[in-house]
Amino acid sequence: MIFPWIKKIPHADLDSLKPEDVLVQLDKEQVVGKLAANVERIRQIMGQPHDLVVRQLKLPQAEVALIYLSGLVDRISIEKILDALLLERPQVEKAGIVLGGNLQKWQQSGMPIGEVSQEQIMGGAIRGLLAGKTILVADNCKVALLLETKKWEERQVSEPEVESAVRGPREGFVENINVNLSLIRRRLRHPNLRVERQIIGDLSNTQVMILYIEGLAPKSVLEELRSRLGRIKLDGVLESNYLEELIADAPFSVFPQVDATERPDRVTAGLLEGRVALLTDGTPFALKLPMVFISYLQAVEDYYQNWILAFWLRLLRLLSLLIALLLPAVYVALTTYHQEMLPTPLAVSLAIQREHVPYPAVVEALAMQIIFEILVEAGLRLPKTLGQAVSIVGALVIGEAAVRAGLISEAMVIVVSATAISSFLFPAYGLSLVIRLLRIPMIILSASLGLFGIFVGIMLILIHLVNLRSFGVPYLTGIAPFVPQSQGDIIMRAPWWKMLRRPKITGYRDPIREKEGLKPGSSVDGREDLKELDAEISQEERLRRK
Amino acid sequence: MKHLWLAGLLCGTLFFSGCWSKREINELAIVSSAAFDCTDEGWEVTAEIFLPSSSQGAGGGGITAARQSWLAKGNGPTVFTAIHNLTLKVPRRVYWAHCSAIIIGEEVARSGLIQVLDFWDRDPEARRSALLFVYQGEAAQLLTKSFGAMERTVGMQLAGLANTSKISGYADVSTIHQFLVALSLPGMDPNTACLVLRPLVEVPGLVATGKKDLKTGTAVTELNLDKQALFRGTKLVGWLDKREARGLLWVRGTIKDLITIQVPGTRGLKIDLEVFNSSRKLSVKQKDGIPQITVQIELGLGLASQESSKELIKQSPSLERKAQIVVEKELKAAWSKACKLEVDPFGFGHLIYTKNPKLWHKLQPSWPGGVAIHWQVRAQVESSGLSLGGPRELEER
Repeated sequence: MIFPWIKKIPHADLDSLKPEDVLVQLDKEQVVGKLAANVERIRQIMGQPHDLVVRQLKLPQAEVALIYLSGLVDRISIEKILDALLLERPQVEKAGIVLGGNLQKWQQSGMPIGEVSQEQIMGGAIRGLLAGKTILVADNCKVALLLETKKWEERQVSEPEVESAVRGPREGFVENINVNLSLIRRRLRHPNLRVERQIIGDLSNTQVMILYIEGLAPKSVLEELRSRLGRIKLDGVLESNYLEELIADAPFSVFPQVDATERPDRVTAGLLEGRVALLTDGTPFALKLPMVFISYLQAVEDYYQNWILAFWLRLLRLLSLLIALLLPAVYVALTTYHQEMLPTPLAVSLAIQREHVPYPAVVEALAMQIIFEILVEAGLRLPKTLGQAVSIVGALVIGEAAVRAGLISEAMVIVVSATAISSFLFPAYGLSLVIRLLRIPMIILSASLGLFGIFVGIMLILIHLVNLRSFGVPYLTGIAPFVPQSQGDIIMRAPWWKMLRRPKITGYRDPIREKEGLKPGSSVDGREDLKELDAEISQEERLRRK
Repeated sequence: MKHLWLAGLLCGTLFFSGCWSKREINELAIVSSAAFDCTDEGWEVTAEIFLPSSSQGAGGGGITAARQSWLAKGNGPTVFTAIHNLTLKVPRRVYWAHCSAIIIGEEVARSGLIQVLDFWDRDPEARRSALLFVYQGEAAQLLTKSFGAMERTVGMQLAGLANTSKISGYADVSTIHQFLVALSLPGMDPNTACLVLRPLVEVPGLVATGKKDLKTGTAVTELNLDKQALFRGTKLVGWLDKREARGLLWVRGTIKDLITIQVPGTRGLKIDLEVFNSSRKLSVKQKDGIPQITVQIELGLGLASQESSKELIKQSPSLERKAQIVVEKELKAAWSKACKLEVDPFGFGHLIYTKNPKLWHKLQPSWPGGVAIHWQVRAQVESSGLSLGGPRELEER
């Protein structure tokens, strides 16, 4: 006990409280006017941990204490504060400014730190302490100062690993929400970019930020998001999926109704379209909403490339979506029910290949699919050095040996591998998981009902998709309901000089995003300088002809 | 919402009954072609079934290769029972959807095809796109004595032949569908191609791989499309030879691809003309109560080969005249043969029927008679290939 002459002040007994109520209780508690009592109380609240540093200083006119958690603060900032307190203060006071123990005055003129705030509530001080701030308390002052000194180890901004692009920015979000916010602010230098901060999680106290462009984002979506977030009460938020599941419109759907991305440019593009972004501290995955299904098939790279090539790639993705979902099912249906639909040479060749296979095509297809899923999961979870071993075993065991041993047919290997590759063509990893899951029931349906079963399956999926809403926006917006104005960015990717409008469903508050007639060489309307140039050139030509 | 589980359960039962019509592709005996003959007790069907062995191309001694199909025979009083009795011999489910050729023995064809046609029309598995051939003799022999030389099976060989025959224009294979359509039209009789089996010259070295043929000692045979079989109703009544067949095909308008016309040149030299495009137009008029049918045929020709020392393209009017005469002869020969057999494979009767049904009903008993046909052939030589007149100049020197 450093101050043995201070008697213990009675406080609410924190030990008897549930963890989630502790901070609520502390919010009712004031910072007291006695230094020793405050220090003791903070120690008591924190449970005397070894990383809690209490630095007591006896200054000429005041007794103060700096309190911080050693792992969360920047040593240089602490040294600066100490410099200010011990070396520069006497000079400030010589100039006639008497600070004394009045911390309000200190905040105004004594602290060489960017972010300093006052706190009268114990709960606030503790929250600050846990967020890496340094508490400065003084004797005879009922206010604590919170000095921003936080610094901790974190990952550098690096290339996004899940959504990589050949052309385009190489920056991906990191786990620090402030860095993530800065990545977006750097792309949108406009005061109308609004950031609303919320703390979610009784124990984790995770920062969550709602980002939108004032005047663009639909108010209904914002209201809805705020109310859905406000409803949430849980102990901790470790990843944005916690929120995603808690704010989803259809909680039983396999389709994500919120777009998760780790690309700041993707989020920024969404903001420009009038969407709302949700950043969560501690994860590089931001959420973008409302989401429409087609954005699964739209890579951010589509907009960074020649539009004709981008259009072709989108068609390719659409095709691969069909292959990934249906190819094994169609194969099973054709070889077990509809042999008449195969061309004769193919039918014979398939019959020959299946000659030595002991199991029906369904069993073959399901077994191969499941083994493939196992391989994929193993490849993801294993240490990277072991991943190669798994792929070799997978290729040899499944590709070669199984065929040679007569367990599966060559055609099935081709079908499964074509399916596998096409299921990884999508820019969003979420879709490939969904498709890989839906493939299995499709195979079962086709094995029991043939092509009819496949159509039943497709109908069920479509019925589900048209029923889905993401924050009130139909999931298939653009296709059903069909929006003629938005067709430039559904399957097609219109050239930038034609992408004049924001998507109707989110950007209706300011539908025009681009001036008309920007097609190079097509028109010089509105460009007086070009008109003059044109006139000059034609005049010169006329003279030359004469 | 309350009974959702019940709905789910009912949907689940779908899966229990679902697999009842399942048949794995390797549990099928895929029929490639079938031959129909009569026997004392009724019908005999010979099915040529794909052998599911991967010995594709094994052997391959130029002309012959090992047989990749298997023959099974079924007997019964009707076509349907004969086909069903195949199951007594075939260990897998007999599957008809890929049957591409049906071969009818001459005897059966003369007594009527109605049972075969009815089966193919009625059975959900059998396809109306199957090709119909007539074989002069016992149809089963065609399957036992020959096998698909270039293709896996006789059926596939025949399907290929039906395609390539269009290049020569000497035969036209009708599908079951076309046959049935022709049957259903008043004033039209069906026709199809006829197959013959010819022994090939025996070359010991080459035949060595055709094991079966060595054992039985028969000569290696070759499938040929030879004639056109004419039917009255479903009964075979007679044949058109190659030349006459072409006369029929000019009118039917099935000649689209390249075909050649041989015309006699001066001093017995031979000239070949290629037909690049042909069009035909049929029109019917009535004069003095007699229907007058005009057949206009227009040909676009190219010079394909010649023996003359002069470049004959320079004398295209005379070439055109000669070609017109040749085509007209073919047409007339075909028509006179059809009249002799009292059938109308041309469909002239149908033409009259569509224009004037009453007149047709009057003419029907004596058809094909009481009609005047005017043949008008116009030919135009348009090209002479790539030749600029090469080898002939040397000869002249």
